[in-house]
Amino acid sequence: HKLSVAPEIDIMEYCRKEWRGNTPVAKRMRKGYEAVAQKFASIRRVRGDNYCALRATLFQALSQATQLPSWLQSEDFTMLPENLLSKYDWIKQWQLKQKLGRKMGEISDEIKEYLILLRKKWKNISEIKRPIEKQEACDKLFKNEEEEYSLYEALKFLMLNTAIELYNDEKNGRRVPVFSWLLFARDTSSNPRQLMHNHLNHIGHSGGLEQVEMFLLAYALQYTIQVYRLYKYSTDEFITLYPNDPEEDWPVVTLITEDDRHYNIPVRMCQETML
Amino acid sequence: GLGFNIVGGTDQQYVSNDSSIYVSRIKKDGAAYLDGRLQEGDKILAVNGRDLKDLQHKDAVELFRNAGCDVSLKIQRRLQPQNGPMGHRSDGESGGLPLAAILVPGLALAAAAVWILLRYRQRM
Repeated sequence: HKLSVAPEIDIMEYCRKEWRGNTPVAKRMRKGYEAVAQKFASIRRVRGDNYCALRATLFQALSQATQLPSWLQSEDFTMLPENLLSKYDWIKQWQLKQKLGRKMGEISDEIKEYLILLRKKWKNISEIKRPIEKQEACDKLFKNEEEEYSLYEALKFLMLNTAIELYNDEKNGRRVPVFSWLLFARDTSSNPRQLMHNHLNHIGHSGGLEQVEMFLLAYALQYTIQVYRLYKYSTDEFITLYPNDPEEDWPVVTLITEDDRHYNIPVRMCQETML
Repeated sequence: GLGFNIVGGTDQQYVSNDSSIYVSRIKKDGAAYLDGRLQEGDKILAVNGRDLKDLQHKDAVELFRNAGCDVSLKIQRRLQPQNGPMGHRSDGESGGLPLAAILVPGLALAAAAVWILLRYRQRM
């Protein structure tokens, strides 16, 4: 159907349908879902293409957004593509999402448009007061049309920007988070240019986000992404935080994955207090 | 403490239109458990005569924390669900409904209210 994020259904009902039988895997998954059900009543399935990590994260962020993040408020936010392109010629090789029936403009103009759209949508949604209306606005945005995919391109570009910052910080002897040197320790991305060619350009097409790129996404958004990783049930990685020592003032969004490949979102969070 | 957990409140996003406070778990060997009358899924209508209406979650929590040593609760009893989902807490404690079961609209509640007096127990 049109919605990129399906309507909510009861988590335990979903789990019972997906995981019948008594294999060790099925049992582990059911226990994992039960643990999620301690805190969340429902699950919403996310369209399962190679954008799903971006989709799930952005959907959750917008669903609870009450203000623009500081990086979106900065004056030169929209100058980012132009500024980076003037410093790094290789960014010309950025893979834009093809738009049907429309001639592609200059790379920096296209990306600038995506960033402007991201800011506009974030601002509009964060200004909606009532949760139900806010949720409806998110549902309307994520309906598998051009706008939705432009937002993912914006996120990918922000990830590149963050990667460049981290890479340069490290070169200049500044402290960087651990994931940063894991990111660049890969053969396929020993520098931001390779990261772009071999990873970021493929996201949404032939590949999704690897684990280390979840850290990059979290840093780019300045959000903590909390993930229930069901196949890791009964290990200390069952609930993983990206980044794992989060900043206090970064908002938290929660995702569910059975396998670190596909992400769904838990909803109807219930605050529970011990008396 | 009093030995039970609560959920609910006007600020609990996406929870059903009912913003009441519900008992979500009873701690084994806590005050409520030893008293024996409070059940998971019970709705708490009042604390020490103060109605719990239209409160944010944290304000309801405050009320309980300021309730003193002898706490009187006015409860609407949860009836046994007919086809309730089976669930148990993952930490192995018996009983306990998944939160979905407590929050499902239309969970049967008895008409008459019940009063329960609990005494605050010091943590051991």
